[in-house]
Amino acid sequence: MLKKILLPTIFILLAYALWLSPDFNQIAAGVAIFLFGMLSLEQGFQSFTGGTLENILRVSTDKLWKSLSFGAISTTLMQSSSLVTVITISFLSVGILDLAAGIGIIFGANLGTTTGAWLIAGFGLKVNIAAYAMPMLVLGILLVFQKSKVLKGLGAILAGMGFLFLGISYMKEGFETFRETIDLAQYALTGIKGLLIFTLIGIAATVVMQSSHATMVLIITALSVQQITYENALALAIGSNVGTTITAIIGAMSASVEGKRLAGAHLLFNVITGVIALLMINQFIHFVDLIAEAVNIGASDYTLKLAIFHTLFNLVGVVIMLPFIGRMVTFLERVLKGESTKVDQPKYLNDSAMAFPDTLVLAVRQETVRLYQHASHIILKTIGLSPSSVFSEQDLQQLVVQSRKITAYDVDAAYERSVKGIYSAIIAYISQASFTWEMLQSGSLYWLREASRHIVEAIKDTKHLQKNLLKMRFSSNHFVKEEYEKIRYQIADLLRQLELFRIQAETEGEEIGLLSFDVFKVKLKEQDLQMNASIDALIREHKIKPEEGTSLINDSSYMYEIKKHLVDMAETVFIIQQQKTTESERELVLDDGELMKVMQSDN
Amino acid sequence: MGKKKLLKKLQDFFDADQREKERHVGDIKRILKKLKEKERKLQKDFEVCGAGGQSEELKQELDIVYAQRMKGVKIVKEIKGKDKDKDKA
Repeated sequence: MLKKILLPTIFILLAYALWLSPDFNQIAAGVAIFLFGMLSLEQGFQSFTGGTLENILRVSTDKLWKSLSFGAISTTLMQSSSLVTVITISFLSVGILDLAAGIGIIFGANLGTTTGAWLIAGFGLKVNIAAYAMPMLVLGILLVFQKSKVLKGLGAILAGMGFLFLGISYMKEGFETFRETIDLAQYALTGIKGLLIFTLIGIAATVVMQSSHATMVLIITALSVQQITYENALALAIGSNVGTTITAIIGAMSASVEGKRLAGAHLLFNVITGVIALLMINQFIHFVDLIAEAVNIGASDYTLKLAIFHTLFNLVGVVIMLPFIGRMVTFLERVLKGESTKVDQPKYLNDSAMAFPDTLVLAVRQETVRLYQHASHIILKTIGLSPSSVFSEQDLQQLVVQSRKITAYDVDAAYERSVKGIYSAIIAYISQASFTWEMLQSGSLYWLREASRHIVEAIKDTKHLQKNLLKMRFSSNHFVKEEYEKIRYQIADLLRQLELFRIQAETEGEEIGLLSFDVFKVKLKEQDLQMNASIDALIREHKIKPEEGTSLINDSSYMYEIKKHLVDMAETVFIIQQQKTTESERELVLDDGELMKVMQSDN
Repeated sequence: MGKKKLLKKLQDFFDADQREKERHVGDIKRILKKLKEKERKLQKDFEVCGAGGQSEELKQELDIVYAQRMKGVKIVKEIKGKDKDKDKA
C-alpha cells in the first residue's frame, strides 16, 4: 500500500519542482545521472560475480573479522552496499552463510559505504570532475557494445564511474546557480530542533532517492557551496544513514525470511548508531576537529570533515554493536520466524541401515518418499496451489480458479533447502552401498536412484513452466488463462491421485501395484493429445496468437514431462513388494506402443 | 514313476536355471491370476455404473488390464516354448 502511494506522490512533487525551477532541474538531473551511474556500476560488477565473488565469500566469512573486512572492502570497491547485501541474502537463503556472518558483512558494508563521501569530498569537488567523466563515458560505452562478457562488465563499470562523476559535476554546478536564486542557508536551523528536523529530512531524501550515496553527494555538494550549514549537514548525514535502512526494509517485505532478518539487523544497527550520533553530536564534532587537525585538514574544509564524521560515527557503531551480534541473531530469529534456513538433511540414511540389504533398500525407499513429499510441495507452491488444500477433499477445479493470482515462488532456494541435500545424500548412500550390496538388492537400488532423478527432473521442469505461468497472470486473453489453468489442474490432480495411491499401497499392502500405473500412463498420453488438440483449435480459430500458442505447446510439454517423471518415480517408490515379483510385473508393464493401442481401441 | 521321469525330476532339481525359469513362470501366473480377478471386479463395476465419465474410465482400465494379461500369457507361452525346444534338442 505504502509503495503504491509513495511513487505517484514523489512523481507529482518532483514534476512540480522541475517545472518551477530550472536550477532545480540541473540538481535533479545530476542526482538522476549519479543514480544511473550507480546502477551501471552494479551491473558491471554483477558480470564478475558469477564465480569470483561467491568463492571469496565462501572462504572469507568463517570468522567475524573476515566478514567485516569482506563487507567493507567489497562495498568500497563497488561503491554499492546493495549489491553486497543482495549477494549476502542469496547465500543466507541457501544456508551457506549464517546470520551472524551476514550481519558482519552488513556492518562492514556500512563502513565501506562511507568511502563514497571521501571520494566525493576529497576528489570529486576538488578537481574539474566533468573532464574525467567524459572520456570514461566514451570508452565505457565502447566496451559495453563488445561481445565479451568481461569487456561488457568493464565497460559498465567505467561508464558507471563516468556517470557518477558527471552527476556530481551537475549537482555542484546546479547548487552554485541555485544559490543565486534561493539561499537555502537562510533556512538553517540550530540546536536540537535543527538536529532533529534535518535528520528527518535526511531520512526522507534517502527514502525518495533509494540511495544513501546519492543523499551524501547532495549534502556534500550543497555544503561545498554553503547552501547548508555544517551542523545541518551532519544531521542530514545521520538521517541518510538511517534512511537507507528503510529502503532495505521496503525491499525485504517481499523477500525471504533471511532477507527480512538481514534487513532487521541493518535497521537495528543504523538506528542505534544514529541515536548514538545524535545524543553525542557535540562529542563527535570535537573528535572530528581533532582528527582533522591531526591529518592536516583545514578547519573550514567542512566537506572533508563531514566525510570524517560519516566514517567516525559508523565506526563507533560497529565497535559498540560487534559484541552484541550473537544476541542480535537470537533476537531476530525469535522475532522473524520462518522456514528453516538450514539445508534439509536425510532422516533415514544411517550406517546401521547399511548393515543389511533389506534395511538398506527400505531406508533408501523411505528417504525417497520424503524427497518426493518435499518435491510435491515445491511443485504445488510453484503453480500457486497450497499443498494442504490439494491433498484435502476440496474441489480441485475450484481451488485452481480461486488461486489464479500466482505469486513468484523461489524454486531455486526451495530446491537448495529441501531437495538437494537429501538427493545428494541418497546418491552418496547408494554409491557407498554398491560396494557391499548383494546382487539381489542392486536392482531395487538402481530403480530407487532413478526415482530420485525423476523427482529432481520434475522440479526442474516445473521451474521452466513457472516463467510463463507468472507471465500469464497479466494476459488479457481468457483462452490463454484457461489453458494454463488446465495445466495447473492436471498437475495438482495427478499429485492428489498419487498421494491417494501411496496411502492405499501402504495400508492395503501388496497388490499388483506396478501394473496399476499403466492407467496413469494412458491418462497422461490422452491428456497430452487433448491439450495439443485444444491449442491447435485455439490457434486455428484465431482465439490465441501463434506466439501464445507456441508458449502453450512448450508448457504443455513441460507439464507432460513433469507428470511422466512423477509417475515413473511412483512406480518404484510407492510399490513395496518382493524384488522378484516386481521384476516379473515389470515385464507385463505396457510399453508406449501397447499403451497407444489401448487408447486407439477406446476411441 | 518311470526312470526317465525320475531322472528328469532329479535333473530339474539340480538345474538352477530350470528352477529359476519355473519360479519366473510361477510369478507371472500368480500375477495373471490377480489380473484376472481385477478384470472380473472391473467388469462388474462397469456393468453396474451405467453411462457417463466413470464408465469410460472403467472401460479404459479394463482394456489396460486385458492388454497386460495378454502380454503375460504371451510371455509364459514364449518361456514354455523355449523349454519345449530345449527338451526336443
